[in-house]
Amino acid sequence: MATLAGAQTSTYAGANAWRVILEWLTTVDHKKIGIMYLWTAGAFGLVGMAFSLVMRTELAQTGTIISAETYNSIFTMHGSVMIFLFLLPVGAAFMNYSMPLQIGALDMAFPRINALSFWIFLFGGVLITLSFAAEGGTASAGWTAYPPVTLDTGNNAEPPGAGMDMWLIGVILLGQASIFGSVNFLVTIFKMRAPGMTMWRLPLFTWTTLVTGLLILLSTPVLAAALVLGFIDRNGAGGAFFDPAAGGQPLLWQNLFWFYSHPAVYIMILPAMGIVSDVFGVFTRRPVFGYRSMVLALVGIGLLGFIVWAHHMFTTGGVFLPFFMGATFLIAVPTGVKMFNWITTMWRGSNIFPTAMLFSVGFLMLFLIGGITGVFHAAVPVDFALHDTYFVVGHFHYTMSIAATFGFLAGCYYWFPKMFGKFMNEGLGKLHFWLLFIGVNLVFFTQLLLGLDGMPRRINDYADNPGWELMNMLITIGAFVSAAGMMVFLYNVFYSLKWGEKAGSDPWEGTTLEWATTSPPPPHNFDSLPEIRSERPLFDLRFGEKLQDDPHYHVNNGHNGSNGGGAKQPDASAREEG
Amino acid sequence: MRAYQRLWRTRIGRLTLVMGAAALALLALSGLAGAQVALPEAVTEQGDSIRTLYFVVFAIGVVVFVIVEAMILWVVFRYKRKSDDELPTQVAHNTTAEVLWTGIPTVIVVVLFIVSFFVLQDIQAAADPDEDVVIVDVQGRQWAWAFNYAVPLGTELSESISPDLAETEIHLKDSSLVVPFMTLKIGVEHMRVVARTGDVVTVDRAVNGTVAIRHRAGAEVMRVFNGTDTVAEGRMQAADNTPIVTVPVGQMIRFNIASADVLHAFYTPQFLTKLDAVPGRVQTLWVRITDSGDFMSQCAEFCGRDHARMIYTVRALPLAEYMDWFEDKAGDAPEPIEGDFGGEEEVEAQEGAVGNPANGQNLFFSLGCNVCHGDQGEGLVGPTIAMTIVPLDRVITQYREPLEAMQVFPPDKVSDEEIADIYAWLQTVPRPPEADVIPSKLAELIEAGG
Amino acid sequence: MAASAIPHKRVHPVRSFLVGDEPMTTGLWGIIFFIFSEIMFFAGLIAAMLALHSDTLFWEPTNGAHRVEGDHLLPILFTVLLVSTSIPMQFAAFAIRKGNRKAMLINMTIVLVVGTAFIINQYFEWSHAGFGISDGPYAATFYTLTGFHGAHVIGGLVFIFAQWLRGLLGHFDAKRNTAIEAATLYWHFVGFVWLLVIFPLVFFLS
Repeated sequence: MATLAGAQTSTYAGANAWRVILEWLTTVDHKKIGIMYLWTAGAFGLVGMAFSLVMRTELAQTGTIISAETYNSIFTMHGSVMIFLFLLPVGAAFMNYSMPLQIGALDMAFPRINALSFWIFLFGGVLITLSFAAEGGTASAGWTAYPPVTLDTGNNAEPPGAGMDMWLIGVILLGQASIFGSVNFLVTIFKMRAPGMTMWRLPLFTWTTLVTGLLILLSTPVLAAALVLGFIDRNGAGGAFFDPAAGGQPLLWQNLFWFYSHPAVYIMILPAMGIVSDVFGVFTRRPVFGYRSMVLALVGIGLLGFIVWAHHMFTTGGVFLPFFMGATFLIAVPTGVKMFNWITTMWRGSNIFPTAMLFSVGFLMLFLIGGITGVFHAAVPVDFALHDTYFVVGHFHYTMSIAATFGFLAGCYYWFPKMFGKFMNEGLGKLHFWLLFIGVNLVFFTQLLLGLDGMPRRINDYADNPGWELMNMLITIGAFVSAAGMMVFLYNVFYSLKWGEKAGSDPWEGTTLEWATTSPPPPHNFDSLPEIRSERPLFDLRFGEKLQDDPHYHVNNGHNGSNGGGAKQPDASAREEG
Repeated sequence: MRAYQRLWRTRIGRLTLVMGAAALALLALSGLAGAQVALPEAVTEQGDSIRTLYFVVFAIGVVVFVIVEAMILWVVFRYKRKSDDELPTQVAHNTTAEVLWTGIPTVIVVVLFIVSFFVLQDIQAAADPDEDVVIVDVQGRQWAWAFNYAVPLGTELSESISPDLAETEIHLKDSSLVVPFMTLKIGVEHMRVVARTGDVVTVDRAVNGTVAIRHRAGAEVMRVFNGTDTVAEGRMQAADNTPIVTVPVGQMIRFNIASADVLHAFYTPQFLTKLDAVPGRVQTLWVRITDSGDFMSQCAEFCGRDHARMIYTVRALPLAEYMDWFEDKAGDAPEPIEGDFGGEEEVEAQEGAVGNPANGQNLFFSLGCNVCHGDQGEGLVGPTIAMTIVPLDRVITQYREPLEAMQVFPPDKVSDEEIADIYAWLQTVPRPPEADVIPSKLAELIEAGG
Repeated sequence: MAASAIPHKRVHPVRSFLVGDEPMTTGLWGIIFFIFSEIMFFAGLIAAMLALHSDTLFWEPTNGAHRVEGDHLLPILFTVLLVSTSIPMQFAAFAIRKGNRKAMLINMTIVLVVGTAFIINQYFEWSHAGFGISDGPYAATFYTLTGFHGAHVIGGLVFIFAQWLRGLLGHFDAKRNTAIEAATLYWHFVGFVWLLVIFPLVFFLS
């Protein structure tokens, strides 16, 4: 082990810079691809944050600093960059990096396609960002890009320029990268598991990867269809798909778009849920409470995710309200199950609170607010009042943006030692956490209140409502506090890369297989694997003996039968492969 | 004080106190900021129902929030690792607990669903068939609103349509289909229903395109007049003036919401509801207003550059005052004809139009005419006015008392001479060829008897 | 217990027919998942077509172009041809499962020839459609759906052709034939989607 790690460091030290760069550019190693996803997505995330600061500066007071066109383009790019280029790829980064390690695989099922995914993603992302240079600027119709305002047809007073086409093509490419990635994740999970790693022994993060992969696989192509139709509508069809003046239907886009974009919310939040589940399992020294109900809740959220898309369209007058209202309410149930499972995991636990754990607890608190405000929107009459106001902005930021970001930050602090062999600085980490936690609550809770007061979203000025000034100023202050927190994080990353305390192969007393190898792991991931008898193989290794007499301590060894049928199928398929 | 001290001695007590203080501070802060944790007071019956439902959801939400957040804080502060080799219980599931925390939320959401369902039925209910209703056509366009009022046929207002407009009959496939009185959207132009007998509907202009009838709610075919008042007090309205829609208190009001171009949303915060204006559709919003007053309202669906400036005011008047306003307004209402003055090709352009074209061009842009009519008068939201054949005096009337959604230009803003200048300039800009007009589907539709 | 009792060879007949009795390779898993995503893509497009047709103001090409009755013959002929190439493609897979490379190549040649003929016919259809892509919803969906389907046919043909070349060079045997199985599954998908695409397109016009 030690020699391997040493050998690897010396390659790095000895190689000249070009060889290192070439190595990264041509790599098909899932770990390097994961890290590249992380850096790229992180950079895009900073860009998206910069956009949000521009918006908040504009909205801090009434009156305008930047033109309406610029504001529209900035909020559009904020949404697009944050969703397509930050939240989705950060999830992909962790799934790439950790999932194969967690199931004891040597690499992904299709390493070269994995690299292709990354490069397509990068190309699409650059294309979208480059649209600032396009004639007419970037896309400026919001990340939802509802036609006909996106269309080049006669009824639209200010048709967008080439930036809109670049946006459409860019998002198609990102979708393609996602689809390739999801095929890869799914096949890897189904086919590449180490012996003994049955489906019911998968770490929860791997389970979320599986469900996320299925969601991507089945929903992203529908978005691709919508984008393709949108592109053709702008370049040839003359609005025949989405502009009623040419025979199209604006609501058709919304249906197709949300058929993807509602599951996309879960594509963003589920990996974060997986991360915090694993983090709770490690830092409480307890099994994640109700492992199977967690998995069932995940699958339930995934399934429900496909039948609630129209709750984004309650005020369009074009959807069947009671059905979508009922389905949307139901989502609260599996989400609540997860929440209680996490809390109960900490209950009577032997808890410690390094930064990763702080962010996980922060995730719970923020996601709770997001979940409860979601119920407000599920109630259609209340949604009539709140839709398209700042309440919905606060709601979705609490859930898919900030809660997800907290989960991902927990992942950063948790897996950083694995990725780079060094701890992140805990002091800076705590400062980061508190600045961010206070900042985002100031931003998004105030947005909820503003929304109740009726401030519509996507407006660049509110001069007719001077009553909103103070709240907007608070939000802007919160935004800058959050940004300061993220600067601390950025500093922490570079500080820790250089001066961080050395971490061994298993610095957190981890429970899952990624901690059974060196930090960073060798290119082939594992020299040897421990016996896998539960979803916590390393915990069993460390504490199994001690806990022999604990009646509650179970490993799945030898009594598969009592654990239900779930283990049979994967066992059979694993044998088939061998 | 004693009680607090006692509470402070235990860890949990301290936690409770700190949380309570933090909550109070937050409340105080939000109070200072002018925020409240409730929706605004409703001024409609429907809004009242929504507000009640909101409080139901809010109450449940607060209870859940407090309980769960307290649970989180409790486990965080109560259970900490005391020694390095401490091993906690390995209890991994508890069927009773899991059934409970699946079952209780399920019950809560089912109850919420039932309550919401009935509130939804309530707020979407139409007026009684024999009830007098006020009908307002709402049309959103980039970036202004137009409000037209319907008057039942048979009143003294139902004089025949302007003779210089071609009338066309549309034969409906389904005679039970109720044709709205409101503006029908045809391609990029508009027309109105002027009469209906059985399944034959007469509209005022046949132009290229297809009739977009998407209306299912019931109403008599009506005559329409433009009832948009404007007031120059809104600071943000794209057209400088905030349109006002005047409605009575106590009557059922039916807003028929449509769009001329892209998506908009009719949103009056005090109504506690909104409805999208979707091009190609006409959607109905029923409200009964309970309080008089002026209610600032705003487009709530992103609609392009000046979305933030698409403001309007709902002016609710007591019934008697409303009737006065109505008679006043309807009595001298101009013919509800389309402001498309470029259509009649027979009419020769007025010769010898005097005026200074250069000044006219400057005025055209400084007054913002180009926003609606295009930089060359080629027509955007507003009609094509390049090389217009409408006589100058009629054009001046259009500035002073506009038909359709054009804003009012009083003489102190633009004089008759200045209008003549603009008119002169407009005669110099080339009229664009009929660019990509949608081929006539209407003619086919009529031929096919459909 | 039950897991270990499953005899190694017991495979579902449908699975046996489609991918053989050998354990499925990662490549085959991958292509199956990928086909699912492709199905969802076409589901999106076809759903858009159905939605437009059910609720549009005008549907048929706005320039008044209508197909005459006789024009349907060629599309129907090529539909039958394309869908029936699933049979030689499946025979190619059967052949290579038994190690018969020659029979595989012959069957693949049939697929390649008929597939190419289908594409040529599609080009002919496009150039004689009588309406452009901007002539209303029907025209736009016509070009979009046939275009994307055609692109998938071409992609399938290129892939099959590459495997055909590999076959000529002596690749593939009874054990190593993932690419052939994958191509077969994909080709079935392409034919199946064509049925979903062409029938509405034909019937909605008349």
